[in-house]
Amino acid sequence: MLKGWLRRRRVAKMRRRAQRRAARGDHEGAVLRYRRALRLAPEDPITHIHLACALVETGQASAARITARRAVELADGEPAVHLFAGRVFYDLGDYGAARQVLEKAARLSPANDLIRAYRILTYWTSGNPSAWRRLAAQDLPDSTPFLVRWLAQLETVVRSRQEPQSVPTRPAPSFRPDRRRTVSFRPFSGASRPCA
Amino acid sequence: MRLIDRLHATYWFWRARRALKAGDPEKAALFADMIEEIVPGHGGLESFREEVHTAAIGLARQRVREEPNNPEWRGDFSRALLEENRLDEAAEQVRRGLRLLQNDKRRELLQPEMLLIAGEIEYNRGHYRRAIDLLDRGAEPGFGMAAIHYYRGLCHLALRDRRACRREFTALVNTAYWIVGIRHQELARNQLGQPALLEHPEAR
Repeated sequence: MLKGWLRRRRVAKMRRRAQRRAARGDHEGAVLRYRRALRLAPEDPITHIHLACALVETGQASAARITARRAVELADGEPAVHLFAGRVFYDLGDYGAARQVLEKAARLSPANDLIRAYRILTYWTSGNPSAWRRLAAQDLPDSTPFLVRWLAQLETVVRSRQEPQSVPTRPAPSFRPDRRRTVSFRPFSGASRPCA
Repeated sequence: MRLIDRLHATYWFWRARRALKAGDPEKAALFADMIEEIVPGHGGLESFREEVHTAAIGLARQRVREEPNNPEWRGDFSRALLEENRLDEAAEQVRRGLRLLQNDKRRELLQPEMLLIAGEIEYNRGHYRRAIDLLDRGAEPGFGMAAIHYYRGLCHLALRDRRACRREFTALVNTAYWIVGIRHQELARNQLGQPALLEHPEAR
């Protein structure tokens, strides 16, 4: 029993180190560490899903897909693993699989806002052009990975329409470094980010 | 609309008109933003913004004519032309501005902004790799990085490099997460229209 506990502790420590690597942008290093952790605990779904996320970032699409599927198999009743697997499939452009695991995640945890938001995003990206309306601006979940994907999809839609910017949002021309605009739209708040 | 809001809006409109008359379109635009905050979709604001925009372009052109060797005015003018979507003329102005900056003592201060404008122009012209190169050269630590990340992300998105786009947008969201909400509202405004936006509870 003690041996098992020690091994789990070691795996968790290796996973944390790998996560730190990934947070610094060293996804190759993270993959290496997750693989090492998996040698100690080959049936650990959390390590599998983290590895899948890191593999996506290193461009190893097929390995990421296989690893995410394995994670889902190992964690049948775990909504977080399904959510992350949904994200992996979404990033790989496999929207059918993403929808499937996100539906399962929603069944496992119906009150989870992030799962709901990812489901809406997946439906929007995979051909339902009005799906975004189900998520109001103030209800966007405070999750950087989600906001990044939402923004990418949003810009894809806005830019593909080739519509001129509406006049109310068009800023007056200005070239004052002391009053530098951030982007071509009007930032109405400079408030710092609230804690998650 | 509440009476107090109407009074506020009237007061700021009066100040905005005065600023425009005094030849300060930037201040007028700021006041117009305030009116928009108090009364979203205020009638008359759209045409007033057009006036402000026209005045700003006129002012920028006049300044360039009076001081052709001032890179700041070139930057102003190129920004104005960019807003008008006159991309070739804007690129020409920014090229001249960058050349003037080579021997200008304010180079360190002005060059990043000028390169940002140049990057935006190249992005709008569809020269995404060149835009990334210009934006890389204009990158400097500070609040201006939000715009750099945004446009670099858009360039990668246009080049279908989703991973690089995510990297840039992650940096953007980490510094200015509220941008997503603004863009979301703009999408709602574009697709549902201003009146629909006001009525639609989910799009507000």
